[in-house]
Amino acid sequence: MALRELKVCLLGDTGVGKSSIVCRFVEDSFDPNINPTIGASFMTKTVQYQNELHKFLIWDTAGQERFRALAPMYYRGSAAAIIVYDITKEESFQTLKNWVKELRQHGPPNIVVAIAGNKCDLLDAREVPEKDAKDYADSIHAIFVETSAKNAININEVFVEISKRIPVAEAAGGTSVKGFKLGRQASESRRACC
Amino acid sequence: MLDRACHRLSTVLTGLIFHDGRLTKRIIELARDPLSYFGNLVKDHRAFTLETMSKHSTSTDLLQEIRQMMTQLKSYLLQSTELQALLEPHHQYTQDKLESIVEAALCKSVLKPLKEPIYKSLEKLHTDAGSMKQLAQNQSVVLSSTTTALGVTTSIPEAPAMEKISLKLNKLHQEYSPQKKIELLLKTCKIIYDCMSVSCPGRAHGADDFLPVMMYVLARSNLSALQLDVEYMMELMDPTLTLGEGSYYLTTTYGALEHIKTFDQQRSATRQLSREVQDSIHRWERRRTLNQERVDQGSVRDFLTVYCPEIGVNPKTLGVFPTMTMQELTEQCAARFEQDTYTLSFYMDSVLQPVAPTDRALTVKNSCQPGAYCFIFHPINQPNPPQVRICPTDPPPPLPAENLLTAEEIAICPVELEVEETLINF
Repeated sequence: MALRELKVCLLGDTGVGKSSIVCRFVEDSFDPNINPTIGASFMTKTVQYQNELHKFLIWDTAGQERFRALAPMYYRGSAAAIIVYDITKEESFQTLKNWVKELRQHGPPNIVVAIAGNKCDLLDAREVPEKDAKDYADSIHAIFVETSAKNAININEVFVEISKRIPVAEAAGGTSVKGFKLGRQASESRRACC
Repeated sequence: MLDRACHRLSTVLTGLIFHDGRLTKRIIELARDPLSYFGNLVKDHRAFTLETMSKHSTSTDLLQEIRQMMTQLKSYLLQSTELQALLEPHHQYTQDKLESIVEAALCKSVLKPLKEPIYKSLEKLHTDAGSMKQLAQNQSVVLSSTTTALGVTTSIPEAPAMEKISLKLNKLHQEYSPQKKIELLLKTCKIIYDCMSVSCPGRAHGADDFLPVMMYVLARSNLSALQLDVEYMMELMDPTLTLGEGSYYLTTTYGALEHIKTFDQQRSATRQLSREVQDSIHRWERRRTLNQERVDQGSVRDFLTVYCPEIGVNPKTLGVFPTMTMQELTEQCAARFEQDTYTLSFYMDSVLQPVAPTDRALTVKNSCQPGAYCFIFHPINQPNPPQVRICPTDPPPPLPAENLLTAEEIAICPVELEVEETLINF
């Protein structure tokens, strides 16, 4: 079975739970061929998708404003970007919109974009209505999922949706990744959360 | 009991390592063999690099040129019958394994002898550009900042851990192999993670937490050495590993260094972005892309040694593209030797013959046995052909039936017997 390495970068404000999502995604994996990584800033997990193995190499970025200028080094060469916001913090949703703009201007042309509204277990404190976020995601043709890293809701789904949107490998079978253009496909949302 | 089990395990591992280690050693031998085509490429590459090293205006140019040559040497070797002849018939290698063995052998044959000159040149370029001074100034600003100002939210390495980190970074500085350097960088990062967890065991720390601590640690290290190390690793590392863990932490180290270079307490308190950081990142971005394009082109570049004005005198190694004609090579010689009126001739079997301007330089080279010929750039109306002397560097050898040493010959060669560290690092 062909193994494809897919670089995925995580963007979003500090404290929205970027690394919690990845830790949750990676924790139940058992992959005898891959050594565990040294820390949570860079993690990997291999999943089967159809007749391919997708090895996700997940690059976390520091969400503090002052480190924002470093982001291009991380999203460069990414097959996908997961932009995370906190449904209980309106401000983090605004930051997300800035990330989308930046990716459009400077990101890889075919990058798959996934939007994850994290902490959907904290319904009482919700500031960002699900519909608003879903409409925004649809308008930019991004994957949209509300997640809870805490309760393990919709975490695997984010990555399954990414796998679906990664184009089939070329005949050469290399690891090169050519994604769909930002904005070509309609998004598929997940409403299972909460 | 445990000891015995460990001993057994290590015996099994040693058995596996044995094949890889032996192949690595054979490739290194091949690289030193003046009668092999590959050995000549390596020798010419070294001469070319040493000669042109001082001509580069930026450290990136210097390092990318070296990486490009290494990639080409690697791609030649992987396709060559010279490598096929070294493989043991009963031992199968995957392509990935073979590539990593060749990469490790190349590091030893090519980079090890160049490491010192490379560092000297890098240091000079940075000193001239003033970036060393700037880094030192900002290092003291970061040193005097509180952990809160740096954005640290976890526990930080205490003195004993800082001591360990400093030992690792010193060792990293001494290494010649980018891959081994990266392994040491990962060990350093692991120590940092362990220290961060002291106050809060079990919590996973992502980049939000890690980067500020990384800055804290780096500010207490030998930054000027690390700056050169980071460049060396980034530009010379195996390009096939750019998505992995090593590359992630290298990127993060580079980011932390850039941030230190432009650190400004006042500005960091505001939400304003540092323009310097942005510029620097954009330059980085452009370089990465450029490098990738160059690697993708995959045009194999070769080398030719030319003497001037007679055999054995003033040798220069010239880089040659596959399509280069003798006419173009002559023009390159004119520029390098600064002699517009000289002409290029080909010397073999004690005869000096003119070259045909439209012949491809590499076709001519490849039609000859390594060491059995040379190119000479000389005055047009030289009354007599240069005296037949034995080339000091390229003695025309009796044509050997087989250029490659056999396994037995290698086994008895008094070569360095040190065990390859990378190969036992599980």
